[in-house]
Amino acid sequence: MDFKGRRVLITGSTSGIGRAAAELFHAAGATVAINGRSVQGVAKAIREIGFERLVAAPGDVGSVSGCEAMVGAALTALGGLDCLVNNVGISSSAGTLDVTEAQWDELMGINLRSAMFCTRAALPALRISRGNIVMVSSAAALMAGPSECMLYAISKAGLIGLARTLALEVAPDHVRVNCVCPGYTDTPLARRRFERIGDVVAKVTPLARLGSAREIASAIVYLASEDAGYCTGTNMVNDGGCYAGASWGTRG
Amino acid sequence: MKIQFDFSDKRVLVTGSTMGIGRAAAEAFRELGATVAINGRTDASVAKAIAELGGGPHLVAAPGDLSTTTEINTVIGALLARWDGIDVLVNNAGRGDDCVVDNVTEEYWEKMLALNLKGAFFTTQACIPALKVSRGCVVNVASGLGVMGGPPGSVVYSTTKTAMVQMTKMMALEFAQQGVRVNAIVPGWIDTPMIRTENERLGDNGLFDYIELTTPVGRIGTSEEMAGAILYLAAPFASFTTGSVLVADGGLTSGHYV
Repeated sequence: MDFKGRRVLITGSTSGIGRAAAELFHAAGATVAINGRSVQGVAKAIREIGFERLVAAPGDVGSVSGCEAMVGAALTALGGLDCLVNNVGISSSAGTLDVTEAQWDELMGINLRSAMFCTRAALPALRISRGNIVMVSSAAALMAGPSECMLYAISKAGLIGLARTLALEVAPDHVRVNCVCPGYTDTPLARRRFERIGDVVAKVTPLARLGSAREIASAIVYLASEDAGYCTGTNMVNDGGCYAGASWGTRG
Repeated sequence: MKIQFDFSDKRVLVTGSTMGIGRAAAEAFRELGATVAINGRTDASVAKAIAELGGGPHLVAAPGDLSTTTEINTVIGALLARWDGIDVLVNNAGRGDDCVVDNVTEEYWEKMLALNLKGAFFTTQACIPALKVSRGCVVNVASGLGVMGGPPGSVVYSTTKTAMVQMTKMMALEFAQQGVRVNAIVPGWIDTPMIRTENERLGDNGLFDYIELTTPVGRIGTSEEMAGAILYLAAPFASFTTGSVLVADGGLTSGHYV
């Protein structure tokens, strides 16, 4: 897959799946805009990935104005856009009865609203390039699981709905929209959780291990590539087999 | 267990029940013996609906805007106190969408999310403790656009309804061992004020013609047909049904001709 001359923006790409995707796009020849909340974090990621063909796009996408400012700056720096990866996300930790409105607003703002408003800001450029969008949803959007993931699962399902209808809406513009649905993946976001449930992952995941960020990144890069030119409105599930058996948790 | 539709002595709240699917569900619950709380945004709309449904002690006014947590806590708190519990919550309130992605503003997004998703979440949260006591159930009114993509202009609606389907499954699992069932219906195109307004806006009966053409059974559905699906999920004999997404769409989401 050749991304020479392609311009890619990945939200939340200083670590985890977003970072792995940035590295893979970069290795395939793309110019990649790296986004994270802190200027230093973005600068560090760029240093580590390799300076050339990398653009700093720091900014908090938890607010609509933040999304607009960040994407606007990235489009200017990149001189257009071929692929937007809506990757940024935070996890949740409360079941239904303990969710507060502040938790709801924060999580939905980052996991779901950012995808809408980064997309909206990027679409004019994507229409020009006949580019595409990849949403990083989750296997947690497809089946029920641990209740502490309540808001996370709701937000990630929202992304799938957003992607499906958006795919139909922008298909006449030759812009593609797809989702990846990772299962348990070895990322900083997930590691805190795995400390508690490490053995659970082995028990509930048919492949009996965590996925690597690289294994998810390759799905993102595939969907963004011309090889996936006929894919739109689809979900690619990379979850070690969890969805096949409709389970990603244990009782208690 | 005897297979019969009987909601005698059941306390049912249907959100957004002054018209459309909610109203039809409220009427059906009432006819089958339930005490039903009617909800709409204004006192007047609720009073009118109650009068039209025949009034009486088994219809309770529960007006309020259930898209804000303050009003949810007030309205649900008062209702639970009045009834000393609740048996069935139908999260029906919601609105349609006509906004292509380029026109979606922050205000529009927040309004739609609050009406179609956040309100249902926090209304359910407020009712769960009482539903555990009564071993009651929740029925969410999702949409065909919760399981398939929709036409241009429905992107925010699709987002909320797909999220609602997953909320249903998550809550079903969370409360499965506490006797609270959580299910959803997936209506297709239904003849409601929401759709009629949209048809008039588009003109030339365009939407209704499109619905007849694309819905496999060749017609639009009725609110009463949705009420039937809701009542099935809420009925005692659906006691093994939880996390279910009951598709009642004239065949639309299984695949259709355009």
